[in-house]
Amino acid sequence: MSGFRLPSHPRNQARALPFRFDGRALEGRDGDTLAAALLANGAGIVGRSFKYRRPRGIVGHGFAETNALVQLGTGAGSTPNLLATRIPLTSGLEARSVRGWPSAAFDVGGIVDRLSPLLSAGFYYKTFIWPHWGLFEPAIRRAAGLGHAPVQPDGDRYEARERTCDVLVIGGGVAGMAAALAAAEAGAKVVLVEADPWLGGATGAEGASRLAAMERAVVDSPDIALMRRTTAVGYYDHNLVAACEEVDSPGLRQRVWKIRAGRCVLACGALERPLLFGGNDRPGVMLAESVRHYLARHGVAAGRRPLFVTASDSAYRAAIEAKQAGLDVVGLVDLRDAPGPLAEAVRTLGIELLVGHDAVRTRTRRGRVSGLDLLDRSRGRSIEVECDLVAMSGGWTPAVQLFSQSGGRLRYEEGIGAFVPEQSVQAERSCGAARGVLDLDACIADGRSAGLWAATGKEPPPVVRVEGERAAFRLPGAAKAFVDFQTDVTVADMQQATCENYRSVEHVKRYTVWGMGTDQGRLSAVNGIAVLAHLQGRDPGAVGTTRFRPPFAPVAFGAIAAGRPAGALFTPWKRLPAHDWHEAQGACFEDHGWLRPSHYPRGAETMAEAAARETLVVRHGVGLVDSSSLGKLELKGPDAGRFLDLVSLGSASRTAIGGARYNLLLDELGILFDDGMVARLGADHFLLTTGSAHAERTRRWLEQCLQCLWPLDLVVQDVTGLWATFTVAGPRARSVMERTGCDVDFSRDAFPHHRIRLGEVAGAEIRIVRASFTGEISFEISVRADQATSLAEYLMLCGEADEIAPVGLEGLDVLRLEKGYFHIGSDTDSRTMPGDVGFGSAVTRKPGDFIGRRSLLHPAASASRRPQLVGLQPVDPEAVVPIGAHVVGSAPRRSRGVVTSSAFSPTLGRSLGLALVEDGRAAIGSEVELWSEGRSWRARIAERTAYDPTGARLDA
Amino acid sequence: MPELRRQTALAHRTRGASIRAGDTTLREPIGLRAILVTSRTQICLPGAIHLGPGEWLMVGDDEEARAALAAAAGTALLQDMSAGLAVIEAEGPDVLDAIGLSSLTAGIGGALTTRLADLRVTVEYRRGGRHWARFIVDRFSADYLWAWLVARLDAARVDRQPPEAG
Repeated sequence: MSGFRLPSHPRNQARALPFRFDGRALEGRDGDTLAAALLANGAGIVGRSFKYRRPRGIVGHGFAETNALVQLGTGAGSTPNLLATRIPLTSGLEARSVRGWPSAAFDVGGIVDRLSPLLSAGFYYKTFIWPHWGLFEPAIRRAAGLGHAPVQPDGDRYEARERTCDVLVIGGGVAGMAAALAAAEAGAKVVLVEADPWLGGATGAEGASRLAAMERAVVDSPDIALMRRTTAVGYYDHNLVAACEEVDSPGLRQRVWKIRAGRCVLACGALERPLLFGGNDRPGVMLAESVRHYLARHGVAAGRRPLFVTASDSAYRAAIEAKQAGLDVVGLVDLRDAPGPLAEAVRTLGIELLVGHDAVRTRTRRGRVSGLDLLDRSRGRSIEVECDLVAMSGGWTPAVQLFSQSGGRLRYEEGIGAFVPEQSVQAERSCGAARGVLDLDACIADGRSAGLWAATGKEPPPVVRVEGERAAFRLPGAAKAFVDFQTDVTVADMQQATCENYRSVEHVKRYTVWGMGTDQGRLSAVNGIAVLAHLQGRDPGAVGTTRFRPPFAPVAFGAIAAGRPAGALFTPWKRLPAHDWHEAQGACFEDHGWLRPSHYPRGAETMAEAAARETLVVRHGVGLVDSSSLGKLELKGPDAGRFLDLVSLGSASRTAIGGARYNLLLDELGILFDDGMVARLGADHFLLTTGSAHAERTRRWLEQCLQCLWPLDLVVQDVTGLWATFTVAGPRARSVMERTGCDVDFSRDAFPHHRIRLGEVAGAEIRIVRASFTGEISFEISVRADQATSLAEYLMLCGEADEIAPVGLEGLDVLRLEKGYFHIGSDTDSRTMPGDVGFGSAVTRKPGDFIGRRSLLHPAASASRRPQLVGLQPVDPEAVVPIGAHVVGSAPRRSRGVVTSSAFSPTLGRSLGLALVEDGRAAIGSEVELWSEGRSWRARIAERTAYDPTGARLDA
Repeated sequence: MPELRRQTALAHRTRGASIRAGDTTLREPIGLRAILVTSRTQICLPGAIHLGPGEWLMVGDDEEARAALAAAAGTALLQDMSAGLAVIEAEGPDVLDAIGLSSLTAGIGGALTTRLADLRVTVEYRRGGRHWARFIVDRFSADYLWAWLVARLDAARVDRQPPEAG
């Protein structure tokens, strides 16, 4: 194979552009793709295959390329695995093949090819098992993969935009342009997207003049928005299409479009299929249409003495154009028994036409094609033909990826040996080569028909039927006939998979990795299905295709994220109303959706030291905790109490005005999903608090129950953001509250535990609940959120005499652990019922029905071996067991539980934990083994409440 | 005895002044009242923004809402959410397009509740010589929405290739 540039082609006069490939300095022309420029420079080997490291040359053009993967650029802007056929050449461009060391042309790893008999399909599953996979994994990971992702942040900018239109036409070939023009003439606003910088698709020389006229009409039409270099990458519900526009300007790299169309026309064209014969993967074997494309579009000949081999009429035109361009066309081999309609034209040009021959295997010299062995079927005679380029055509495969993504159904069309759209499920229609129409005039007519339908919704009479060339399929007998060039899957591999009884196309795909390369099987899918059908004795239509998924072409992560700010803004945060005050106190924040203070270090304190100090502050003095993130829902109406009784384990309707109760929420299966307090503000007015992470979910749950289960007379309102809440906690909490000047009586008898009072502090309306998550006397004071900072400052002032200190989440977690208070979601899982956390009697005591009751009456709810929440005390009091450690049962070393909470208690001077353990309560007092990641500890199962088990301090 | 003072949601960002982001001016209006009405029955509340089934938001004086509620039958809860919501006003030549709301906002003015910046946001808008938009969001999300708007409006100002004619 020895490519060169045609002296007479206009591209030869274009500006020269220097570039580098695999370290070699080369020159191309303005308007070249990188692949065209490489071919013009005689580049034969441009890459190496994935498994066998076989040399690979350029096989196609545009999206019909699977070998020429390159790493473009260096540093932060470097991009791996780009197709050289889709990269516009620029001055100074630097590219490297993604596989091959030290280069693709000379690859040390190429020796793997000699081991290919040992590396057949599925060898991954049968080897590298003994002694263990971990021994081989690092080396295999180093050897595998394609390209290198940059480690520096992506400095490029991306943009996301939206647009709507009446008609979206995808594909700017003749069928697409005809559709766009017809739709615009019928009065529609049209968007036409085309992946290439040029229009026309695969139109050959015979359609050049008509193509030029159509292109002028499209560009001049005020009703057609033409988007070049824009690839439709995904088809979603309700005619939403995602498209990626290559901008490549210094300010903007890619632009992602979300286009919502009234109707969509898919004019995506078709991809030429390779032929299956021995050595069809060698550099110098290309698709016939691609040879024609490089000659016509770029003025580049991929070889001097091409041999065309075809099972399709279209290669005839390619051979003719190659001859007319001055190439020494060695011959045209037609695999069919009868020649195509252009046979006479081929012979007239002096091209030898061989009909009824099979391609057997390539011959190579220094790794490049030097000839092709043929078999004359009628005479049983072998023929050797010398050439430096084999241009093959196995027929055309409609590009049905987007159609399939839209949900449409395909059928196998025997006439063209490929799958075509059969039934659409969205407002979409395919036309032209995308549905198997290959004749130029028929494509234009088909496009117009589709465009009229898209604009008017009226189905015009069908203009053409889908009739194609009958491409003959023959299973090659030679070894190393590649079905998938990129992943090195051969016909023999598929035979092996069939022998091992893999029949489903999805199973064969995964077992052999056929179609799993970066090309997503564009060139290999239909050939692979044909091979499977032949081996299984079925029709290809019965074998079917694997599932097509977006994106159709690679999209940069930056483009997918466009419209979403990167960095700190990537996900929303919620800010506490007194955030600035916490910052002023030196808080360290953690992001739990809410930015919450984890601790307030003093001096050089570590987090553990600060948490220990803050814990003791609450135990012996008074601390201030910001509880504003807790969800707050108000329920009002005559049926509010009854509704709360139905949706929760508690009995809110029996709570007196001014009372507050601990409350558990269950789902229909009786599983705990939230807890909080219910306080009664009035006869028909309640306040329900939820976990910080659960407010929205709980609100939706209540609305669902209200609208769908019991349409009772009440309303639910989320007031989480309206109220800021500070908890004053500790044995000196009462004295701090009495100093606030609040009009509420804080004495023990007037304001006992589990009550709510309304009042005023410093001119502000407040609500105060006596509830405790710490085990000490606690007052939760809520004020309007815009007064949060001021309240915090005022409470600190009131508590100065008692050395009040702010307390963060870390300290709070230790405090509640000492009391054995559980945390929904951490100490419970998707199986935990009230009885598992000690609330079984609440179920039996509660009168009336409630959500989950029926499930709780099921025997499974009280069966043995249910995980129950218990306390843990490590035998070594200094050992803090990691959360997630297993509680080990008897032989054979079965896990019978998991540690859910663990910390060191400065109050008790020892480590503590909670765990969900099978039959946990029956095991209280026993000693167990805990295990995590190769380490073990001994611990005693104990009651959950390690500190103040009688609760005396709550009622002090 | 001191009185607790009030602070707007974005005082730490604006310090009471407006700022420029791209070609847009952003500010946090002071003293705007917002009343949330939740009702089991349909109520006619002139000037209210309909947030969803059974939910309305009155921005401004609440006299009309109170009157309408008093006249309406059925259970309702009326809540002064002024302290729990934040309001951001934006004025500029292309505000709605810059933040991707053009396709959702028809006509010369209106209101909608939508998902913006991954948040539930109520948007009032007016189109004229200069576009005006008011974003109403939960107070705890205001800081994020402000930062998001600034970043988005700054980015929209960067020169970009206009789509071809059509």
